[in-house]
Amino acid sequence: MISNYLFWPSLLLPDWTVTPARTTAVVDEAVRTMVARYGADVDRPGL
Amino acid sequence: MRDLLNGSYKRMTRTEYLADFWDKYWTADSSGIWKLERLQNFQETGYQVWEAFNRGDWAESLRLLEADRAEIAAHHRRLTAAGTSLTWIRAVEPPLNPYVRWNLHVLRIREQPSNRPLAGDIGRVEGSTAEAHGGGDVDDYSSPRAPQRRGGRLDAEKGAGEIDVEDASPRSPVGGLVADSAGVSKATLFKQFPTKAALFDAIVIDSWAENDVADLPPAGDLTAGLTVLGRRYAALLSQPEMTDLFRIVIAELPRFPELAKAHFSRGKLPYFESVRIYLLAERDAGAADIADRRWPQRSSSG
Repeated sequence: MISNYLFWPSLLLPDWTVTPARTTAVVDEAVRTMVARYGADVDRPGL
Repeated sequence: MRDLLNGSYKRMTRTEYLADFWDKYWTADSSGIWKLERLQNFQETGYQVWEAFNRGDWAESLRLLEADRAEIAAHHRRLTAAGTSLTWIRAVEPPLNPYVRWNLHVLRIREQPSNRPLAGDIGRVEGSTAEAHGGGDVDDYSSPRAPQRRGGRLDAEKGAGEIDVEDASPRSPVGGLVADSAGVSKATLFKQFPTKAALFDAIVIDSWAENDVADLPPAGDLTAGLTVLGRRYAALLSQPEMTDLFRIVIAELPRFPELAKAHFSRGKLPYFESVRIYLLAERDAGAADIADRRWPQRSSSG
């Protein structure tokens, strides 16, 4: 999730830049996704 | 030993030297044979164990070395039967370059009761003589405790990151360009990185050096811990040279698959492992619910 946005595009797009704010947002989203999936105190309907 | 240099001597051809060497070797008396090696790099052309090392294929080199064990044992039995022994002294200059590290593995395999290699640091080099100090058994140097990385960063690594890997062998013309860009002589570059594989290894290790796998967040707050690890990974991937490094790995994969393996095993894999360890700690602390111990770290980092 993190490298898919922060890194891999830079291999094909020489001008690819990510602002610090965007980096923080990407990391936070990845963390939220992981916590939703693996957090012990999270209700996961259907799992 | 320096008194040996005071007498007259004759410069021999390689053939003359080898004939003389083996004649004296097998007719030595019970005082034994002492062999001193001071140079930090040798070209051992024709020795398949070295040829594999020189190609950057450590696994094959060590396999060939293991295959030689029976022959090495026979050699030592012959020495013992001749009533003599061999003491091999290896002067090493920290930080150890890849050749010396490989050479110490070779000496360790060759170590027998009649052939006990010793290693010592070179404290001072003057002309053709070297003083050794702090010596010890070879295992002191070839063990995992031995220095595996250079203390400082040589800018040659960055220069090589912009040049074709095959051409970046320190002995090639392009190796000269790498040396120039680093502000060092080609000899210095070759001494530090005898092969392109060694140079690439240094680049990979340095590029991922900020990933301290031992520095894990404390368990108990899954969101906080993952945020620390995620930001660390983002910082690693955002290094300016990381894109060039991946481009080299991908471009050279068909010709040098070992470079890709080194890149993964020394770069991404330690990071994945640090996340895995952290998640298991969170599970043990009751903050994470993980049934499959193997893969969650890969889903967040990608």
